[in-house]
Amino acid sequence: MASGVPELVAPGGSFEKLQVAISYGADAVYIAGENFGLRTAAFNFTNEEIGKATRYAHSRNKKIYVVINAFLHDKDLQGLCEFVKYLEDCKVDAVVVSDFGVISFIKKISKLNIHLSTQNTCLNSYGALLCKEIGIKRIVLGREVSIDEAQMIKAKSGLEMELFIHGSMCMSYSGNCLLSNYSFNRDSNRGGCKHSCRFLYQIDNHKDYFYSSKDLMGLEHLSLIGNSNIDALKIEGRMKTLHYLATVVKAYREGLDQLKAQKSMDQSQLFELSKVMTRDYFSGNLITKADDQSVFEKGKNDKTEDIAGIVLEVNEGKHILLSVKSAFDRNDQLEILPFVGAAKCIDALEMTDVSGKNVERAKTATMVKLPFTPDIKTGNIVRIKRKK
Amino acid sequence: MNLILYADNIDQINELFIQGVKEVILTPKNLSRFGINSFDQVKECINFVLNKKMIPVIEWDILMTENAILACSEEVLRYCDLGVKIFRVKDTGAIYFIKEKTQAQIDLIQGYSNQNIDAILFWKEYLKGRLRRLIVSQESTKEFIKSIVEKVQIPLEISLLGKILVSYTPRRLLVKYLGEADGIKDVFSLEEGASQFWALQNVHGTFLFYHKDFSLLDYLQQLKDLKIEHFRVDLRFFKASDLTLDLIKYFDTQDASGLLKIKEKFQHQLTEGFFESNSSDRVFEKLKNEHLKINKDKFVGEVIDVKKDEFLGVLIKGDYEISQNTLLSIMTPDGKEKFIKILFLKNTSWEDIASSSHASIVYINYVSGITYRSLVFVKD
Repeated sequence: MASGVPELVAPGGSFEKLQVAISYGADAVYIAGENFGLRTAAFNFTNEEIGKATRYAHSRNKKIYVVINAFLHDKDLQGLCEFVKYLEDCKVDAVVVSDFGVISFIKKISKLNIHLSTQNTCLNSYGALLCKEIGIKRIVLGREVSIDEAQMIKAKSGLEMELFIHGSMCMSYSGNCLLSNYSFNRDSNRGGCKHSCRFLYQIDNHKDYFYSSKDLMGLEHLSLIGNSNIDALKIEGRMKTLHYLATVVKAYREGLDQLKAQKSMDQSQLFELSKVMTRDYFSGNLITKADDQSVFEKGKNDKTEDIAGIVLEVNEGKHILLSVKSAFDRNDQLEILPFVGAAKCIDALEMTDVSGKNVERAKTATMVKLPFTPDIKTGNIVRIKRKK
Repeated sequence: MNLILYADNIDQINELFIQGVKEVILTPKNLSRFGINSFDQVKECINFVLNKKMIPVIEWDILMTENAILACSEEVLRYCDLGVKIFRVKDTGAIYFIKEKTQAQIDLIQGYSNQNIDAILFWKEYLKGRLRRLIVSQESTKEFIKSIVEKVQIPLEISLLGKILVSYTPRRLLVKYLGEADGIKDVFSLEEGASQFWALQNVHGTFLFYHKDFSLLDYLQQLKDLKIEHFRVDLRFFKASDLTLDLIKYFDTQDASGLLKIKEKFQHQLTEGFFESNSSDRVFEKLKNEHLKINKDKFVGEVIDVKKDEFLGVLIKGDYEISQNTLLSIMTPDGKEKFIKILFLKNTSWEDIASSSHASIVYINYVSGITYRSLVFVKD
């Protein structure tokens, strides 16, 4: 907590997402290699990309944490030694590990900083003291821990504490769910989670999403966290969209900056968080224990604003080049999300393809040119404003 | 060989004693996920067990946040004062507490983690003489159990019969059906997968059990051949009164007709889980698209824009420059390889350029079949 406020740790599901997370204000980004992580379907980083990501982050004074958070079976350990040594050579800032076998292995062959993954379900100070004894530097606490409890664990163990502050929540204790294993023969603890907790179930004669949790949102509690000595706040979601990532990271960055400047919180950040897909927000266990009111009973997310694309190039005075992530029409109202400050409206009336031909509808996975707009920067997210 | 069972009262303990059972698991309500007994009730059981020269083991398997563990730590110490010398534990905090604050031994619940030999060795080394036994998870394969026996040399306890817990949340989610009371509901999935569960709500939260129950009764001899000495049967959720007797008899004789009788009385569907093999990682290779991996030399970049019959946009990610007349090999996400000669090369201002530079976006002539995210290489 060098700067007086907790470090903001954001997910980096791809190199593009890592760049967005850093641009919008993350202090650290957690990424995964091609193996040993829990998000098998994500566009995980090759070794070469991890090196590149680390250089990219370090050149901006940001940190890279590499997750090795699957509960590995013996046959999965193949290649781990080489991977760990590679990470050490790359000078990644830490590895985030869940398995005690893997932790002891890493300790034997490297001097890498080790963060205990939330998958390990460390929930109390005695668990933290065990971790301290074996040389773990930071604990990513289970999402069942409150801010008060995190503060106590920190005080008693002296270890760094990282608390989840935003994103999807497992209904189960993380790392303690085998729904996918038995229902779909997919090991959730090795990256095969099928999210069966989000399914519709029948109980008695009722149809019920009874095992689907609302999403965690702790923005309103930042001032409490600011006084708690907690070292880092984590945003969930390596699989989430660029839009989610940019909006959420920016909201928390601004919230933390206001905290640092001892300003009261700006409600606009809460409004911004309502613009991304969510399963309704609640404060998790940060203040009080979650109960049956924490269930997301609708099953489907409300439609919010979509991302239009990400700015890949700004040609000063001429055009901006947008990589289109969701299709939009010439008549749609667009909104640029700057790295700092309020969103700005632009229109797409003069939209062309790269060769200069007019485009009526920007298709997903293409590039379009929009007229130059002052203050827009490469890496900015552009959103489609929803028609009311 | 040792058969271990749960008991909640003196009558049950006495019946086990008569049948020659030497070790019983006691489950305090404040420490054990499905425990129903208060401290005083557990105390009564402990005294009875000790009087019968049996071994009482206290199960402490609730995952506890700071306030919860502080609230129950005194109770744990009181069990030690009563003569309890063994705790079955899962939570790392509970493990540390028993190790540092008591003289008791630990029966370590392997759980869903600790699925490799290094992890088991870690615990053996960390706990040293305090680790009495490893309680092997129901998800362990025969091969892994064999591997632990060979490489770790630690007493193992195997589940022979019981329910399969697939998920555990501290949230009480059946309140709308059960109110604040404890209770059980059948849960059926209305989406893909024929999932059916059995949901239990109690003071510790909600627990989902698989609709089939776990049994390795058919594999008892194989397990004995592996030199496994400790077996557990969990009949807490089954009401057939004389099943315990049948099981104890079968455990001693392994008589086939005895096994048949148990299964008939049991009446639930049974599964051996992942004991024979575990293929729950097979899906991963399908989830990873090999065609999106850079597995060739001379990588140029990635296709980020396609306009039919007009152009391809390429983000230059590699170190290889391209220019007009360069021959390219392009690998599509669905595994097709296309070859192309560059006929024009333009920048994003649609000006002709001589060659590409790293991290730039360039435009080349269109080739049919190339899609977004195709990978571009210089052709040998």
